[in-house]
Amino acid sequence: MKKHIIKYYPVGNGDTSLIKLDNNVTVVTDCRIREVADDIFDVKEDLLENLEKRSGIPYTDLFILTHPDNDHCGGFSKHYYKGAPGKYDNDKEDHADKIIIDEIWVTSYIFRDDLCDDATYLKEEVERRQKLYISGDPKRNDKGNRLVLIGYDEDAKFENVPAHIPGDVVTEINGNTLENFSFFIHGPFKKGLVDAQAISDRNASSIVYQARFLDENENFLCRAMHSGDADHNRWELIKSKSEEKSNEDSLAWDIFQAPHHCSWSFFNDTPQAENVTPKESSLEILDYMETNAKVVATCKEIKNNEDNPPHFKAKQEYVKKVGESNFINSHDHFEKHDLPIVFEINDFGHTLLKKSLASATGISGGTKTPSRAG
Amino acid sequence: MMDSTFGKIISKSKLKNNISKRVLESISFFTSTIELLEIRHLDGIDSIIVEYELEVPSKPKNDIREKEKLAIVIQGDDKIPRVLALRDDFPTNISHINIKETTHPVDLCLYEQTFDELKFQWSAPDFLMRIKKWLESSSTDTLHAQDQALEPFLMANGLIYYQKIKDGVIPQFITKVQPNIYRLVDANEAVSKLMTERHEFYHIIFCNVEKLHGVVNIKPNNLFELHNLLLKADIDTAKLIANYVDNIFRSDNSQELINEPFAVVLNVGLKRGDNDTHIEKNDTHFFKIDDSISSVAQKAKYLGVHEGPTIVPIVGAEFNIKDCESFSVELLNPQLDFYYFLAGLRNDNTKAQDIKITLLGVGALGSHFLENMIRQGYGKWKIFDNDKLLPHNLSRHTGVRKDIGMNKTDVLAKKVNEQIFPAEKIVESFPENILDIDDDVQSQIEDTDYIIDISTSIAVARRIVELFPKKRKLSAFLNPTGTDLVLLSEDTDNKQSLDLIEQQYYNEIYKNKELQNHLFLEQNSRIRYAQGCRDITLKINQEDVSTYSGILSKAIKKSISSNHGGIEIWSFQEDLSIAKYNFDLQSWSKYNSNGWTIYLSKEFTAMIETFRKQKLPNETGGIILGGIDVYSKKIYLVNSILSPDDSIEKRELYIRGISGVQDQLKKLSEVTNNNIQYLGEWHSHPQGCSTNMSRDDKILFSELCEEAKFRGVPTLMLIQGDRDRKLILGNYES
Repeated sequence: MKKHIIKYYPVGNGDTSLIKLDNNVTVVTDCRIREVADDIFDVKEDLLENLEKRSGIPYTDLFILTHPDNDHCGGFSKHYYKGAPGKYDNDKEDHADKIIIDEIWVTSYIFRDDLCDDATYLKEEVERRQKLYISGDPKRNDKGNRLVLIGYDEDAKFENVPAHIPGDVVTEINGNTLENFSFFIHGPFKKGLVDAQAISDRNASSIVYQARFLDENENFLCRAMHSGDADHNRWELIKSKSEEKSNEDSLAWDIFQAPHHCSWSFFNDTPQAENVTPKESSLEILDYMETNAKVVATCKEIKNNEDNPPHFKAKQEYVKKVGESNFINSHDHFEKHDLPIVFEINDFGHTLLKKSLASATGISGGTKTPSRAG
Repeated sequence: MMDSTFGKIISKSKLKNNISKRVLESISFFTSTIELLEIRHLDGIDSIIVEYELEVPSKPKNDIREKEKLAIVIQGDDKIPRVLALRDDFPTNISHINIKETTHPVDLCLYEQTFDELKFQWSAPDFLMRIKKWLESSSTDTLHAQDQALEPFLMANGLIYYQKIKDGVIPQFITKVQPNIYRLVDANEAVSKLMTERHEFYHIIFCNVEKLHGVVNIKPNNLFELHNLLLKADIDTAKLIANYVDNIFRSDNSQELINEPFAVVLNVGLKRGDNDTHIEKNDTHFFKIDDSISSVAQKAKYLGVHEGPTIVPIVGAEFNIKDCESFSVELLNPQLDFYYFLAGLRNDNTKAQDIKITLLGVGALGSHFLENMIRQGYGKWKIFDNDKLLPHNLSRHTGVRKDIGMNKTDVLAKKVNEQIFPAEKIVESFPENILDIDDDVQSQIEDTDYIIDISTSIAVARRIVELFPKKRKLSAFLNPTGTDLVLLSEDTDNKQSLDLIEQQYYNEIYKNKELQNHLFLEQNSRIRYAQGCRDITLKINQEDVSTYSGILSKAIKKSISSNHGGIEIWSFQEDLSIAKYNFDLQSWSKYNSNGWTIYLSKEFTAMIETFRKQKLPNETGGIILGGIDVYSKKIYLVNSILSPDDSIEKRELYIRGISGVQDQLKKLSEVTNNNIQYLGEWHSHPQGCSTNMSRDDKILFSELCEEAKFRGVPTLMLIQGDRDRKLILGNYES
């Protein structure tokens, strides 16, 4: 039986998720890696444990940047490699244990000038790769040089760069056909990108996709919906377009990552106090849930106050749909189970992993370093 | 409900049993998984109510949820706590549930042993983990081991063993084997055996259903309860009994048959999904009623008494099952019978089950070896031996006294095919001598995949090389004192046949200092590994045979699963450890001369080539050592006594000396049991010279031929040159 993993790291208000397929293909979406401290999970260490290595260098097959906000690319420059893959030198302090990205997915919004330092670092890498495509350099197809544009090429900067647009089903990444897995691209639509530019709202430019885990007969085992910080307007459009094209399959979900760190913006405009009623289309999106579906809120602790994100009332709306026990908050889950939110996906669907009991019993006897004896 | 079942809520200080306190303390270690809800107490029984948070998948096979409320019921410190799943719709159609009077709450069966067995190791954390594992595995239906009998821990009154019920085959009777031990008998056996031997037997009233939810997890106490229980599966027990009674009255001996007791047997064909047509497994449940079918039917007013003792049906009567509350029903704990497939499955030999093997020789080692293999479900066997079992064989053979006088192959075939795996033809007996088999038998052997020779006969080993050159052959034997086991195996492509391996084996023991006594038998000058077993009866005992038959079956399984041949020797040491010697097979070159085939081992040719080079520019030489098979006209060159010290080595002259030769030949004869001997002479020619015989060589050769006549064997002369060598055979016959 094949076993895939999808993992949402506890990074406060921010996103880092990892998909690891049975054949060890990895997809990382967004980056928020903070300095490790007592109550901060070591995301980098966990990534290095999970990512494959090529000639001793860790790499991911695919990195998706939903949008260039700091809570989605914080720490990127410290942990990801920039430059020609052949020049990586593990002995260089600046390179050590940096992750090579074989293929990058970004939107055209990456070429804005008003980006944070980490986003700018990523932009420079995208530029390097973009030049290979423009010049038709054969190295553009090498792992570590590949680039894919998601959505509309607003400023025509991605000439010759391959692109996936909303409605596409992606079955190949990094030059390889995916096994038992595909993506359905939902966004951004052109409107989102234009709006984002017009009002400098990066969230509107978010990449939205449905990750599809399939069995040997191409039946869905699990569908996970990731949408960065997309708001209710983006989702309304996604819903109407998908329904218009009878793509209901692409709306169904087993795992729904609550957009924008469980913000009210998925349900209506903010502040919530002024827009208390959730939009019908947002609630209908949630009705596409499958049996035992889970909402994943990657954010800090959700307190009963007016803070946003995460927003308490937003959580309540999700809970109404899936039930309290199917709403999983990355902060609470980490606190209780010492784990990121990890789902194992196999022929029986998805299973949320919890703290192992073994560590508390004799099974671990002798396997840990004991304290010194006097 | 909670109050009446588990009693009032109490504080933890009021817990009565020590185990309760241990469980409660452990729960506090597992806060992320187990939430303590309540502690209750009723009549000495503590109940700890908890909620488990589980790792269960979104599309489970059985409806176990991420959160399950359970009661851990502690009945005392000498009992395993019971674990009850409290959800009203907790699934009941899963394995490992204890049978009780009601379906809910479902009683989890966590252990297969009794507390007496478990108490030395039982720990509360492990117990709590086991509950988690039980629930999580049940959600994906992976708790049940494939070969495991169902529900081994139910409250049954006896045990019944049975072979899997095949589709469409209705079992006929249950027979009592021993008190509380029963066996299911199928139609064939019932007709042929049971009726003539008049065992105590039970009629079977059989019903077959395809799906059943929870029904069999309730234990019915009497016949009426059983009837009500089976009604849930649309089975009308009253009607089934009535029909069965009607059938009895159609037979001639109805008055006898009607006085036997009966059992209701329920076969449940389980499918993976509701829409599946394939039945994945059959679960069988046995409900035994010790009263006669007659007394039950009379009580139900279906039968009556007519003219004294004669029992007759009452015309137009209904079967009043509700009157049958007084007939108690006993559950029998079903256990799968032991049959060949299961034997293989339990030992990971399912793939090896159909390997066809010819086994030559079923004496002491062979009989033990065969039992090792068949009891683990390995292979289908054709066994050959023309020996009969005699009283002295009882010291080591697996046969028993009543087998004396039978052919050994028949003894084993009978034991395996009748007493261990009845009705399965695992072993085919050929009580004949492999040395004179006819074409038909030969083609039967040709039809098998491997030939294993444990005949301890050189004649047999050599004969099979002639008869079955393409078949992979393995030969095993004990040394004369029983301290060592030898396994010679050909590789898959038969590059080195068994006779070549045998010759290499002699040479290896000759060369190895630790194996110098391997073939040595005290007080006996005529020692051969292949000599008649009677000569060595007193030397080898059951413990040697037993030890080495176990090693041999392991070694042969390993050898068959790989493609490599080899020579393996196991040898008991003084401290009772066993040393192991492995020798890779070496390659051979082959010459034909005068109707003889001459094989030269690579080791031999390399040895003389190297030695010649060392002595250049002078000539040198030595004695050729090896084996000879006069019957098959084969000569094997394996070793050499290199130029003795008193030899004369000149540029165009070589005279072989004799210093030490006699001692070496004597030792050779002792160590190899005369299997390696003097075969002739070799010498080298200088660089640039041909390997044709010189004048001196011709004189020498005719001398050798003269001498060979006295020995009755051919002689050999070998001339080694730069690149080639000449081998001349002097045939004593010509």
